[in-house]
Formats: sequence, structure tokens, C-alpha cells
Amino acid sequence: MTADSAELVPRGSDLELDRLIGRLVDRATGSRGAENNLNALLHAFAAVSNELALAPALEKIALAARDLTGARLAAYSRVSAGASPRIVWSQPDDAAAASMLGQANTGDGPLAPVLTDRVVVRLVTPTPHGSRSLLGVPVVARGRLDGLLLAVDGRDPQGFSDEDAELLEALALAAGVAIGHAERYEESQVQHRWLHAFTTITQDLLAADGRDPLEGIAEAAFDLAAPELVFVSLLTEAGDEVVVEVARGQRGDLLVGRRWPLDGTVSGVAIREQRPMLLNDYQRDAEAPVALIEDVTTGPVMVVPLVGRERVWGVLSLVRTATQPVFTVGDLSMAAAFANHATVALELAEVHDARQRTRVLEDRDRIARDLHDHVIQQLFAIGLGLESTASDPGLPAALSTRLRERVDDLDRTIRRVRTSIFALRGTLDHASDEMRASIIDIASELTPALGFAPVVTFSGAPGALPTRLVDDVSAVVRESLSNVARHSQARTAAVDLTVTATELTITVVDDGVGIPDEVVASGTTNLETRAVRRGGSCSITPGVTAGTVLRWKVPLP
Amino acid sequence: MVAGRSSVDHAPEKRPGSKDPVPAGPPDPTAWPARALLPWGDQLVPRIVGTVTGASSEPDALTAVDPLDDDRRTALRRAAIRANLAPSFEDSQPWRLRLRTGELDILGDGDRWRPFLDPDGRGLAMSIGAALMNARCALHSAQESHLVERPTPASFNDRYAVVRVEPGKDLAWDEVLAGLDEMTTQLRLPDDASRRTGGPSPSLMQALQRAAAEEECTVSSQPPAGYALSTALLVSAAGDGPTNWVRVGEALQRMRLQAAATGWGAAVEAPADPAEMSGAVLRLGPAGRSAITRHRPLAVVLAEEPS
Repeated sequence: MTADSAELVPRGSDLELDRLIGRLVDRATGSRGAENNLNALLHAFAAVSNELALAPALEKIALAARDLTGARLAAYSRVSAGASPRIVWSQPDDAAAASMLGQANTGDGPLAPVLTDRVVVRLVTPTPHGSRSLLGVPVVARGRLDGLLLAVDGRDPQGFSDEDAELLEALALAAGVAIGHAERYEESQVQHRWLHAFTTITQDLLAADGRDPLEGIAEAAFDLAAPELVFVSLLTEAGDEVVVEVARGQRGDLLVGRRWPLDGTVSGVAIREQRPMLLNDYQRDAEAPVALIEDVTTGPVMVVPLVGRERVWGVLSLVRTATQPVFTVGDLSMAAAFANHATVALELAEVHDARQRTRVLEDRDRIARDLHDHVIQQLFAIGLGLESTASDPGLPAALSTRLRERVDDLDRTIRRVRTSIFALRGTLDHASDEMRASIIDIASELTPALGFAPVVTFSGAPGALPTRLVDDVSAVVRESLSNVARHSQARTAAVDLTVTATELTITVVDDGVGIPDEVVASGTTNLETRAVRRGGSCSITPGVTAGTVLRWKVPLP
Repeated sequence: MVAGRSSVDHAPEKRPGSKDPVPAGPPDPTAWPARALLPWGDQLVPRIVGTVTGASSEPDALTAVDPLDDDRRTALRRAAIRANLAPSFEDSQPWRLRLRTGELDILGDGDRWRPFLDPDGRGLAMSIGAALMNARCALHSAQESHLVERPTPASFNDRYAVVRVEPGKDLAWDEVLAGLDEMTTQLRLPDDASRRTGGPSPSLMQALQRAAAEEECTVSSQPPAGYALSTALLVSAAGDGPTNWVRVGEALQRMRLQAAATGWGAAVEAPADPAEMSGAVLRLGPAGRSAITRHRPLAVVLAEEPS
């Protein structure tokens, strides 16, 4: 086995092409066959550069190599970093030649210098059935080594000629250009598909019945990057974990709802450093404490952060198995760009929800204003009118008393309306009046347990109370209402908080069956302790007709 | 249970809906079947079947996402995810879900309550009921026998419902609920613009009545005030308290799932007549757009306590 010729390969420059063509033309003037070769070369150039897509371009290259050199068969072996390795044959392949190509790939064997030193290799090997001749030339595309063009078994049993080598070198130049174009074309196609996916997500988002943008993101990423598994995880409120919200692909539905911490995970790095992560051999590249999921067949992985305007939302993860092609840097940058678009969709969805909330609030505000400005004024006017009627000396005493009772009812109603107005406006802003807000909150919270909404009223100015009392008051209201819910079977209950200059009184009244003695004992202990600590008192007595009245009083400083 | 589960690891897959005969033997209608006996094979829960059962050291490592995570938790997590898809009062999704060992708690979320529209908390409790129904369907589909605790005024704390998986502890396995699980992602609203005439078929109406009865609710024989006969059903429970409302929520969701399975859409509406307030109206129509709305992220809704 001898390599009888090895020469430096042209680097794809025009000068090199000029040189090669010059030599071919010189030879053509001498012989008919060589002139035909030049013709064939022109045809091969045309055929190779006619293909836009990569796969057919590689096939054309292999066929042209075979036809140009008159070889029995030819192959193109692609080894470019960032592309998946593949061999394209001019016809069904040849095991012996394939094994030599494989050796060249690993930097071993007679063809290896084509790739390692970028030189043309010509060799003739004796075999039991005669001799085998090989001709290998490197192909450079977009400035980097892309692969090896191989011709097997030339016309001449003595091996490939100089002319054959020159023809194949010239073809390699054209092939490099064609491959470069095909790659660029594929990239632009992929880019186009990603952009289209983004448009679709945005359209989904703007549609009235608002599909979850997360679903669209996962689906688009799954279709585009052809991974085994895609999932979107969002940061929890605490911000120390991510939770898988949606997943597509192998066993994706098992992943949904799973969570893992940011510490020591790829997602953690992607989120904290806001950096897209590419791990092409997950098992090898992931440092010991770095885990994505406990899934040992995981191969190439991309984890890209969803970076919003004010915060990082989470990550988009794309996973392939160990046997699938690696992700390229191009894939990573497309995925990262897509993630940025996707985050816009998430933020839009949030704005959309916020707007709906605002609408509810505006509505409440309008109702509250209306109650305050009109309803209360009218009730007041009615009350005043009734009161003056009741004071009419000509009226029978019994009637006058009943009228005064109605006026009291009206007063209570006005207080309740005031409380409702407060509830409409106030639940949103606890800071403005913590005491009222917390009592209303407690009443709302226990409403489902009670089975009805307790009436809550305030007299005086509870807002002006020292904040240290708020805890006590909340605890007392909560405990007494829970007692009502648990034991009384009441149908109504009322909480009143009255604040005078010297005293604070909480009264909780219900219309139930009364509270069992043992509960009275345990229930009051706690309430009493709280009252006594502030120099006050607590009592539980049966109601006038039914139910229970709880009175909790403390003096005010 | 455990024996049934491992035996199914190698069971041939069957297509959903195929009529393969259930192996012979007098079936106990309330028994939880071994998984291999499911009439539709493992299609409904393809990911749960075949996960970790101790001896799972097969080379197919994709089998076990997390060897520490057991079947029961996986099934409960899936139940939680399904619960989060449930329709809710004014789309408020007023729940939080807490996953604990052998237990899923469905909690009311006071921040999501709409006190102005829902002063008594009926809508909130019914929403919780719908979420609970979804969770139950998921557990029946996964064949995890479980107990359900619903709130009573006496037991009330902030937990509305607790679904506890206790192998062996029994609740009858419900084939119908298991089958409704796949509908939890396919609910439809009635299409009001549809020109299709005629109400639901008598058999659907019967199925809906039965669904309500299974949840201890009744369907009024009269249409609710302000609705036309046969396209609106008034569903109510025996009483008017939080437990009843949760129950009504479960019944309504079960009926919606049932309707969806036969190509009908349904919407839940508040009764117009105050006398009917303790129940809710289920309005039916030809299936229109999806009733599944954008849901709150699991990152916010779902909490998980380590096992």
C-alpha cells in the first residue's frame, strides 16, 4: 500500500481554480478525451450548483465525482464540526471503502491525511481480485473543512491519473461553494420557520379565547428543533425552584408538575446568568452536581432562559437522546432568539390578565362611589325625615317609638353600606386601614365555613388604633367566628367593632343553638387571656331569643 | 394493587375503545381492577404504567424519570395538574394545590375569591368541586384507590378537600369516572350561534341525571327560571352549605365531562331566581369553542412537600 502522490490542496481561491482550469485546458489542446473532460467538468459544476437543499446537493456531488473520474463509485463523507456526520454514495455503498472513510474520520488509515493535512491522497492497494485505487480530496466550505470527496476504482488499474486528481480538485471547489450555499439556504429556512412559529404564538395570544402561550412555545420548539423532548419550566414565587408547566415529546406528561432547585442545575445557571446553555453530551459535559432530570439516556441538551423585561420567567429546555444528532451553535442561537420572542408572548399574556383585573376593580370602584354619593345620602335624608316625623307631638307614643326603631334600623343599614363600600375599595389596600381590612378579610375567609356572609360593622374610628392591637382583634374575631361555624349551626352572625375614646369593644352575635359548655370553657380561655393581658374582659352569654353573644372589651390608652 | 401494577408492565397495549374481552371470572363491580384488565388497555395512562416498582432496573432508562418518585405521587401530581384545568366561577381559578405523601389537598385561595360577585362563597366552593372532580377522574383512571374528604362546617379549616390515596382502603373503582378523565382536557362551551336544533338525546339526559345522582345531587324536573326546557338543568344538593356547594361543583363538572364525551358543550350559570340560589344552572348546547382557559401556572398553584 503506497500513497504515490500527495500535494497541497487549493484553499478555494479563484487563483487555484484558474490554475486547475489552466492545466486542464493545456491538456485539452492535446487530446480529444481531455476536452471531453473539460466539458464534463462544466456540466458537473452546473449540476452541483443547481441544488438548493443540502441532501440532493451532496448526492449530485457524489455522482459528479464518479462520472468525472470514470470511477466505479464515489462518495462524499461529511465530517464538518457542527453538522451531523454522514456519507453519501453515488450508488449502494462499498463496505471496504466505507471502513477506510471511517478510519479517515478518526484520524487513522491511509485516507486520514486528506482530513488532517487537507491534502489530496492517491493510492493503489493490491487486493485478491486485482488492485483497488482510491482518490481522496478535501472539500472546504465557508472557510472550514467540510468533508472528503472520494473516488473508488478508476478506469486505469494502475490508479487515478494526475488529470483525474485535477478534475476532482476542481469539483471539490465547486462542491464547497454549493455546500456553503445549501447550508445558508437551510439556515434561512429554519430561521423562517422559527419566525413563523413566533407569529403563530402571537396570533394565539391575541385570539379571544387565549390559548396558553406556553403550549404554543413548547409545540413550536418541538416541531422546529426536532428534539426528543421539549419542556417549559417557570420559576416559583419564591424564585428558588422551577416547575415544569408544559412538555412535548417522550414522556413529557410525566415531567409536567415536576420541580427542581436552581442550585446545582443547568436551569439554575441559565436563569441566574441569563445565558443559553448547550450541552452536547449531557452525561460528559454536565459537571457532577449539575442535573437536568434524573434521566440517564439524555444526550444533547439546550436550556435557554426566558428573559423578560423585568425578570427571568424560567427556561425552555430541548432534549435529544444520546443517539440523536448534536445541537449546533446555530440551533442554540435560534432557540435563544425564539425564547426571547416567546417571553414577549408571556408578558403580553400577563398584561392581558392585569387589564382584566383592572376592569373588575374599576367596576367595584364605580359601584362604591355610587353607593357613597347617592344611596347613603338618600338613606340619611329618609332617616332625618322619619326622625322629624317621630318628634311630632301629635303622634301616638307607640307609633313614635316604632318610627324611632326604624330610624335606628336605617342607621345600622347605613353603617353596613359603609362597610361594604370599604370592602369594595379596601381589600386591595391593607395599609390604609389594617384593622378594618383584616376583620373584613377574616369574615370573607370564614364565609364558606359559616355558609353565609357575616355582617360586619364598625363604629368610631378603628383606623386610628395602635397597630399592636390589630393582632389581638384579628385573633378574637377569627376565633369567635370559627366557634360559630363549628358549633352553633347559626344562620346569621354579626361582628361589630366599636371604638370610643376610652374603650374598644368587639361583639359577635349569632342566632344558633348556643355553644356547649366545654367549648365555652376552652374557647374563652384564649380570648380571656388576650383581654386580660390588655387590662380588659371577655364574656360569652346566651342571646336574647337564641344564639350567643360574645363581648370582648379592652381599655384604650 | 401492587401485584396488578407490576404484572401490567408487560401487558400488550390495546387501543382505547377496543372491545377486547375482560378476562373471565365473576367481576366484583366495586373492585379496583388490576391494570391489565382495563378495557381500553393502558392508553389512558401510558406514562404511569410501567414506572418504578422496585425492580425497574431495565436498560430503558427513560422508564424512570425519578427513581425516588413513586407511582402514587406521580398519580397524585397528575391529578393535581388535571384539577388545575377545571373551569371555575368567573374564571377565577380560586384554588391552591398541595401535594403531600399520599395526599393531595385542594385549598381555597382567598386572594382569588370575588366577594362582590360571590358574596357567600358559593362560586368558590363550586369551583373547588370542579377541580376535585377532575382530580378524582385522574385517580380513577390511574387506578389509585383513594378517599375523598370534603369540608364540613365542623371540620373546616382552609382545606376544602383532601384526596388521600391509601392503597387497599376502598372506594369503588368507577369505570365511568376513569373514562371521563380524558375529557378533562376537552371541555367545550355551548355554541350559541349554532343553528342545530333539538335538545340533547334522552340517553344523554339520562346519563346527566345519573351523573348528578352519583354526586348526591338532583336535577330539577322543571327548567330553571328564565330558561327553555331541555337545554338547561338546575342542579342542586340536599342543603345550602359549603359541603353541598362543593358537591354541586363536582356534579356540574361530572355532567360537563359527560356532555363533552358525546359532543355537547355546557356552561355553568348562576340561577336567575333567588329561590334557586343554592344550586346552579347547567346550560347545554352543541359543542362550541374550548372551555379550557389559560390556567394559572403550576409554579404558582402547586406546592409539593418532599416525600
